[in-house]
Amino acid sequence: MPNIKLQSSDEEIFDTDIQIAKCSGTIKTMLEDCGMEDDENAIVPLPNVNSTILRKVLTWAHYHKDDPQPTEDDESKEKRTDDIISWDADFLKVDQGTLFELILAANYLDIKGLLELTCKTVANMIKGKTPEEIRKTFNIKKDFTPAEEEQVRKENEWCEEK
Amino acid sequence: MGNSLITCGKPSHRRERRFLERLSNTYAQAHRKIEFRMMPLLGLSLNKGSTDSPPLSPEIKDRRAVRKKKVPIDMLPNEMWLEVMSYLTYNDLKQLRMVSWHCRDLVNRRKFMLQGKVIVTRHNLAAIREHVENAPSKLSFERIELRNLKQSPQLDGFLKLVGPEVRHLQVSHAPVFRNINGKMPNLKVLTIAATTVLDDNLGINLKQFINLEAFECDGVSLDSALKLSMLLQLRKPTNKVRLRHLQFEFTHDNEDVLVAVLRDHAKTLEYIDIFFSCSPSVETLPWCLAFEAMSNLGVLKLSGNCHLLLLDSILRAMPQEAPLRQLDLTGMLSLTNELLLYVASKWEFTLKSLDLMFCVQLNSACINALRQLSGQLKCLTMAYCRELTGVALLKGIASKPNYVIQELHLEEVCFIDEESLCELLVRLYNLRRLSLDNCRQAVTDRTMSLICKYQTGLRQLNIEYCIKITDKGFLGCPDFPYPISRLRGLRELNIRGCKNLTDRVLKEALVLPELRILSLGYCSLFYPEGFEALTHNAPAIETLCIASCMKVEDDTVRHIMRNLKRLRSINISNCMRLTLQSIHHILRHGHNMVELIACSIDGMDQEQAQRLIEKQRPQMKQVLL
Repeated sequence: MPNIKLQSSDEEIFDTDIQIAKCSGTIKTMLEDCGMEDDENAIVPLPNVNSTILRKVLTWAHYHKDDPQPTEDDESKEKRTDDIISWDADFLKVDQGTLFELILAANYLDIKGLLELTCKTVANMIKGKTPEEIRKTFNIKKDFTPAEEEQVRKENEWCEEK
Repeated sequence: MGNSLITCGKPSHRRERRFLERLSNTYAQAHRKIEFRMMPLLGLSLNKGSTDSPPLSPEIKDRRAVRKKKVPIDMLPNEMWLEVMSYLTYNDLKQLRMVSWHCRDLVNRRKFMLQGKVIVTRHNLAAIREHVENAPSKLSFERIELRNLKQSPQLDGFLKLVGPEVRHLQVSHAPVFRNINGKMPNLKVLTIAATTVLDDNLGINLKQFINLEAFECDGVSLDSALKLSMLLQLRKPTNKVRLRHLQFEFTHDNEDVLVAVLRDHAKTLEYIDIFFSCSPSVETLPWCLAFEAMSNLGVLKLSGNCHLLLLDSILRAMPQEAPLRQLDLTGMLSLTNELLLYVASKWEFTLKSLDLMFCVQLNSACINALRQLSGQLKCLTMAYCRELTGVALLKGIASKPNYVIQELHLEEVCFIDEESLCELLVRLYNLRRLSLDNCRQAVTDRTMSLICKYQTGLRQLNIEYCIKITDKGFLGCPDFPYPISRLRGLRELNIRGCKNLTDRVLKEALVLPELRILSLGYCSLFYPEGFEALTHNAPAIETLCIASCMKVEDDTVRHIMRNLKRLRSINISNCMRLTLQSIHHILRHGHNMVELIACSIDGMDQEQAQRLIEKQRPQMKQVLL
């Protein structure tokens, strides 16, 4: 399988199997549109992904290279977060900054599987929690005044799931 | 950046530059689209020329300094948060809404707010009205329910404000039609529930709702004369609406008009739900004429007391091209195996959901019908079909591996045998909901282990009164090392009356982070320590029933209320050791509570409890008998 060179924002070059690189919709489109596939010396610049994150992304892509392509569209797909396989769970035992950067990278590179996985992981950090616990988890400052907080609490009390 | 690329010494500069431009463009477009809040950690900023964009120089590599600061939530653009939020339930979103302004604004989006409805009661009417009057409200009033209300100038004024927004209205115990009159020109769906009286002789004018698509009126609402007058108002051509959805109760005196309404709207009706509170006449021709024109019907629910003659005529009259996906024949004692087979053949490519609860004539001969549908059916209910055997069920829906069926409800199908059920559990690959209440013979520790082994996608499991189950079924044992904690996505568990379970289940087995609804009623071997452990093992429970768990003490209630911070509803009926102190704990710690059921507790002064609750938490629904 031919390789392709990917360049991170901090200018590190990653010599990558082209099939693995193409799990990124962005790279795939670019390669195909620009006819770079056969050019061994071509360098794909990825100005929004640094080397630390790109390395992680490629590790993930390598592990998942044989996954079937997701076919179901978003609407009909069951939204569950308990189905994260243990390799992925271990892979995402990272600090929050890295996790968020992975989300951004997955979005930018258009890697559906990784975007889903990382978003599910963040969702799991919110599920079942109280507002105070969520603030603590993400280091969010409560910027409500007590009166405003009471107002939001009341609004919530007036609403129920349909 | 462009420079660094070009100086890389690659053969075709032009192509790469184009490439680079496209990459940058994609990114810049994304910027505009998704309103980034803060992107200091990534290389490219929105305005490439501006001075505050991070320079692409070696010092950017020194990110650790930046990263060491706690990561603010703003690091992710809203678009990504919306993606994350798509995995949250409505109740999770409500909690998130209380975190900060930014979070509140995220949740306030229409697609999330539309998952809920505003419930207006006599307790909150004044406050909601004030809220709407004072500032542009972020609440969505597209769906509202008027509950336990009487007519009042206050309500009248409120509906003037929000009425034009309302698309879906439910009135429950609220005879307030005079206040509604003329204020909801955009109403599409009207549901009347449990509203038995009108407090004046005005009646209801349905013709004002010129956009009405759906009308529902339950069996106990209003007297038959009023119902008849409403039906008459739906007749064409006096009423121009095109009904797509109708739920109504059949009675002797409304047969002609109901059938006429069905015929008038036959072409547009997509959803019909008729409850037969008495047996219809044997004259089936008018019904046939109505149903034979229903080429758009997707959901048909006929329940109650309908004889075979009419049922048979309706199902045969309906055109085969009707895209029928859901058929609910609850309580059709008359349904035969033959008629079911006819239905299965007629709609074998469209039917996804079949509810045959209490269709007691069905027996093993219905295998053929089930088999015909088995590659298609997502949801099957055969509760109380006691003639059904396990072998038949196995042949019907799982003669080969079944990847389609997601819901299987077999409550009280008490003659299913253990062997067949176990085989069934191995052959169904995508079950989400499984109800086996009172299937006592079939649900054993072995069955339970197989559920835990194979059905890891389950969201709901009901095994009420399956008394053969012991701790082993939940904890696993050397032969079957599959504990219930494997069901990581389980949201709802009902083990009421599984009376042989002990504290070990609460302490060691129910480690279920997604669990929201749990019923443990009538499990008398659970002790306070067990309940305390439960609150740590399944901390996100929202609805808990511990009725008739005799060992529960006031202090247990305190632990539950303090630790289960998301708790919304609790049932402590018949917990004999409880006193008024428990009510105090609930009021003090239960900040999310919306419902309390506490019946038959001798040691608790009911009147005083009621007074306390009404004073401190009037919104909370309480049942104290």
